[in-house]
Amino acid sequence: MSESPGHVQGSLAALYESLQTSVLQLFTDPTQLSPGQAVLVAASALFVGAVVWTCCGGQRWTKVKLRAEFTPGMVYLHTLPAVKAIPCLTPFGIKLETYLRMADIPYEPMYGRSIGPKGKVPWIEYNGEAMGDSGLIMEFLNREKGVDLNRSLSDADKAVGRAFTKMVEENTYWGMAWNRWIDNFDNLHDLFEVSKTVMFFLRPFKGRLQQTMWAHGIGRHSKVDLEGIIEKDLRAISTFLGTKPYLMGDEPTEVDAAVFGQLSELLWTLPGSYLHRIVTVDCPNLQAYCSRIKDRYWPDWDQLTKNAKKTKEDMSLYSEIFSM
Amino acid sequence: MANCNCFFCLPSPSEGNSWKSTALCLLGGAALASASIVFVSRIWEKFRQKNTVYPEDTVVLHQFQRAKHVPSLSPFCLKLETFLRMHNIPYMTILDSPLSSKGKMPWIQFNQSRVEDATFSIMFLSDTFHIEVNGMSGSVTSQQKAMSRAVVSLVEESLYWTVAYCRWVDHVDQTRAELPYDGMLKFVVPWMMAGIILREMYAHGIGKNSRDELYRIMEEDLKALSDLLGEQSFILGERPCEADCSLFGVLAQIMWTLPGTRAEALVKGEYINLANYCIRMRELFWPDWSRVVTEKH
Repeated sequence: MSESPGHVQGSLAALYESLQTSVLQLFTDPTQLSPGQAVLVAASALFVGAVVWTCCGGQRWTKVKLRAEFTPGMVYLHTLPAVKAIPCLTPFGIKLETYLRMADIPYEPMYGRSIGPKGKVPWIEYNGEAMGDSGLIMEFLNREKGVDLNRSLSDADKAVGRAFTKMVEENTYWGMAWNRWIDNFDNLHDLFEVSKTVMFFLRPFKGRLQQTMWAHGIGRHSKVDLEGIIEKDLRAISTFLGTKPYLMGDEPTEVDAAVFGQLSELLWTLPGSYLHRIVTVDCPNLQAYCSRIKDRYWPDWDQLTKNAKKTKEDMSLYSEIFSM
Repeated sequence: MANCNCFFCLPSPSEGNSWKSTALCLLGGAALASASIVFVSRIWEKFRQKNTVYPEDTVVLHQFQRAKHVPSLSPFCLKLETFLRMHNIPYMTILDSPLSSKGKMPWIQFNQSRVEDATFSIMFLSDTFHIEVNGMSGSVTSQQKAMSRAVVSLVEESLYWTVAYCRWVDHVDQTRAELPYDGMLKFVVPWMMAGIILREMYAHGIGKNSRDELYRIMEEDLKALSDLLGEQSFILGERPCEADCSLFGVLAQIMWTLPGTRAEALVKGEYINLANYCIRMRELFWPDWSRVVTEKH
């Protein structure tokens, strides 16, 4: 028992035995637990708890309430209601609705109190079934309705479109989220058109977003680094767009719906931010691009935003959305 | 109660009001245990840093251990190391480093500087060594540079997660065989990784998709990369660039650490130009591959 390898094993065995004794003591007669035993039990419980927590990944599935009656072939689009600044506060809602308008797919907007099957918004109901995730919805509708906004593109160009979609939705998006919910939280009541009291109750979602971004990875950067990353993304889009009317050429394709979705939020809901500066002053072709798409596919933009009215129901919807 | 005289068997000091004192002891124990773990790990790390002297003008690359069939199971470690080799930057590797302050790997030290995150490390090294990261200026247009940034996003923010899912959640048994650990760790690490990956994926958003949808995303991402690469030698043409390091980092995992999976079947089948690309990158930048990986033939 005095040789080195045996020594470690011997100590571990003794520790394990003490732990067993302590746990037994805890359950038979806790009043007799010594401080040393308490420390041992507590430390082991913490360790086991940490391992178990790490092993369990977070997963949540939402149950969705569907319409009793529907018109076959009609797309019922569930999305966030309009505010004065913009017809929809989620870039994915603007993306999906822009796609529907580009593809001439008839749809009925539903501003209601419900989250989609994946806990995300926007979502659709189609022929009695619920579907989530704007990208998957677009793929489905392409097949179902025989639509292909990318038909004029080569395979390599379709790939480029996919790459820019991924960049703007998986990376640049977090710049908007950070700026809106964390940097600018104290002014959100203006954008959401609610009282400051309501925003007080939405405060926990600020912390939750930070946790989410930490888990994603991008939230681990300092503010300066994060803003640098987002700026590079926006400049890359601007460089690639150049003097073209749309990202891939003369006519809009699917990637334009995605990019417009993200850029519109920067342009119209984040005044005074570094993001707004980049898409207007630094890269004016981005502002022109957004205006072009808005004029062509959202002639009713002003009408939608002027008629925006807030209800209590909408507030619960926001809090559900952002409890991702 | 045991009769030995070690610390854990000392009798309790108080007799009356025992529930309260027990609860207090447990709470105190938990607090003390957590505080000591944090304290010790920080002090230990500072101690180690102070006592290690690294050669000057050499990049010190901190990363995970070598794996059986690839130099690193982490695409980001492999990306950064491939970049160092691509530009002949002198470097040394430390294989048992703690995670960076952001809780990630890899990270580097260079003389007095310390940089975390593969992408920021590459930016730092490009500045320090005056490297034009996306090929010599002139041979790559600014449009292509912009496009390569988007390609890196597709690889690191989309494809990467589908591969992580395939490895840690879907094919955990094959992955266990790839791990360079023995005994208990071989079981605990995969469980923990599965939990971490699922949680991160859920936060990212991609984890809200079903298994089939994730594989569809993987397939479409691979198709896009295959179409972009076409018959070229590298993603932007005939000269390698940073995007190639990212791409190789992830594709190498599919090529050599996921046998029998759908991911491997796609890369070695329908999108075989990606497999040839991996072999090309390996021969160019890792001629010592068979010596670096732990499984010797």
